[in-house]
Amino acid sequence: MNRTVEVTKVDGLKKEKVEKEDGRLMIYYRPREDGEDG
Amino acid sequence: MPELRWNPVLKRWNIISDKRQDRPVLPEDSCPLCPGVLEVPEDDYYIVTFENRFPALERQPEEPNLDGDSFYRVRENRGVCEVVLYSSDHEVPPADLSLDRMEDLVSVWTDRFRELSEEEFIDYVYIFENRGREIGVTLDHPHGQLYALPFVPPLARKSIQSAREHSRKQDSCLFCRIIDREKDFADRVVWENEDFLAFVPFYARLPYEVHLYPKRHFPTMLSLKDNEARSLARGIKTVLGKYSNLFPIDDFPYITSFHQAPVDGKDYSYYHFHLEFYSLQRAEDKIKYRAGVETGTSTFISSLSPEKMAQDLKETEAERSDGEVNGG
Repeated sequence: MNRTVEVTKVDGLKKEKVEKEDGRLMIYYRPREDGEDG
Repeated sequence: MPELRWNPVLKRWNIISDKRQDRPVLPEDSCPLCPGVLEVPEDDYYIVTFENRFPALERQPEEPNLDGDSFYRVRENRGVCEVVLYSSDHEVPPADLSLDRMEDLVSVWTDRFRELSEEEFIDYVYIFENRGREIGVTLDHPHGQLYALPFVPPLARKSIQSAREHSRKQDSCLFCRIIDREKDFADRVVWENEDFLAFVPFYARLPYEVHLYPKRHFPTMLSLKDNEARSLARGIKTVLGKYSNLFPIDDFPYITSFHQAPVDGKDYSYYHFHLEFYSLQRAEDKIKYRAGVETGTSTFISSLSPEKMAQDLKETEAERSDGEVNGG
């Protein structure tokens, strides 16, 4: 099971850091929606 | 046997990484980078980065299997190798990404550069993309990579040394001087806007080599202003669009290579951030191979003049007829 470890924002993107099952770092970058504050 | 071994003849580190022997090569049944297959469990994604499953460098490396000494030096292969997925769409080439998405990629590259440059064991962060089977890609899905290295690699070291010497002797930036020369000559300029200049360099080594320089002097992406980040995205899209339209072939092979100052804590204010693009495609049906002279002497023979390559690229449209992928 992947585990979210941090959610922040970068420019217009929401940045979600995830630890994969095997311990590797993965980061999702998604466009922020209106009013979303990361 | 994951380790760094010092070459005392050429004074450079080589990475020995037997784990990379296990990488899948162009799997036909499914792509491990597509959503829901292997690396990204979600049904869809926008842009994703993750640490490589088959890394040449590792955050927590194993001990080297052999002991070095002061002559045959050995170090652990400590570093970080990341993959950057540009889109969940397997079929879209990077040239067809929307300008908005390319600008978001610039934000992601900058963010990863910033974060990795803060690691005390990292001296240099290298961002690059291999595209096309002739270049040697092992997966076709649109993606780039990032190597955070525990040393400054040889070409970067040489380039930095040249910039430092020019700065000391001429009291000016080597790369700003190249920009001035290329703008004055103009025939090798492929594209420019208010922030960036793209040109085939006077000393091009490889087919359709293009350098993309910011007109303002700064050493890394961390100094990009908002308008410059947008311009950089537009410059990358323009070069890749021209590459894609240059010959009537499916997938123009190229490398995108970011050149930035090291992150080892020293002063590199004289360095000038830029990108370089290289191909091996010297004609519609001809590949330039790195053969005996290039490999054995590091001297490059180009059968195309830089001026001819620039003319070909100038005459090639950057717009892609297939349209752009929705930037989200």
